[in-house]
Amino acid sequence: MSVREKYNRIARFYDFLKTGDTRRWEKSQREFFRKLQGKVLYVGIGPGPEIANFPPGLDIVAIDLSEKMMEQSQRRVDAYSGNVRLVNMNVEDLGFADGVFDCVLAVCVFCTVEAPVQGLQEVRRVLKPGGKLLMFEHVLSQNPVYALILKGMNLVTQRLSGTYLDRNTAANVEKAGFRIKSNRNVYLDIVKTIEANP
Amino acid sequence: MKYLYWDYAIGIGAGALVAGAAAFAVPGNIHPLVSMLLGGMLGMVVQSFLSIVLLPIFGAFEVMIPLHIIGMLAGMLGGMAATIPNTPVHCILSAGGATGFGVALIVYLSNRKLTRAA
Repeated sequence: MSVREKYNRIARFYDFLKTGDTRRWEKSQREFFRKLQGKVLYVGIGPGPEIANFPPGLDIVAIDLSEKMMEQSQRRVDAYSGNVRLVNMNVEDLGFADGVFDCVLAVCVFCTVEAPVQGLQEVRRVLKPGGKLLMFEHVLSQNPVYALILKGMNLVTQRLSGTYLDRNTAANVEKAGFRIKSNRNVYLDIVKTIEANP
Repeated sequence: MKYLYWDYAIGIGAGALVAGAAAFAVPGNIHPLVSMLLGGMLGMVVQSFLSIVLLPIFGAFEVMIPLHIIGMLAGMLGGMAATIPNTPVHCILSAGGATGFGVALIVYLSNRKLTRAA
């Protein structure tokens, strides 16, 4: 089953599964999302729980691989004070011209993208020179105990939802040609905010 | 209630439940080392079910990380307790709860250190 099919299947109750994360991360996300400006590409909108934490009035193009997830996000998109355009698209093959976005935002997306470096290279292509990549992602911990737990759970999550808990996303960002400006921990050294420039 | 308090409550509750389940299920007439290992394995099974229930409400990583450690440690504790004759149930539950509290505290301190250092 492809990642798209998996996410289409869990779209109806994905919001419930993320209830705790959404509440726990609200404050950190509000603070981090203040960096969003100009024309924004929001990669992997899902059901869109983060929209409530966006600053008002942004001009956003939101993409997702799963059309069912995008249907779930519609209510939040309608309630947002800015402009959000939904597009069914894969980050590994973006249908946008080069250098059109000021910011690209990804929230817990590059743990699931099948070819993360390729996806990040596409993101780099569509960013304007001097643009910003903002990521709110979970990664593999450097702590051996936490890492062992994540690697064990990875065997389950990989099969259930296509989510990898053992990725080194900061390294992937650099592999894609970005320069990391900041890499901060939100929970342990697992949930992180990463800001990078092309 | 703040999530911080919930984290401790979950730690204490999970520790007591896992230790109690291990002490109840592991046979008392086997070698203590074997019962400890059996208890640890049983603890991991119990914490898996607890995680499925608690994870959506209290956050994935904030539940998954401490519960895995608690499942192993409190399960081993309960397994060992099963081999000690006439151990009062409240002692097993208290020891499991204390283990859960200790793990929740260590994870909290670890989180504070890592998020401040960043």
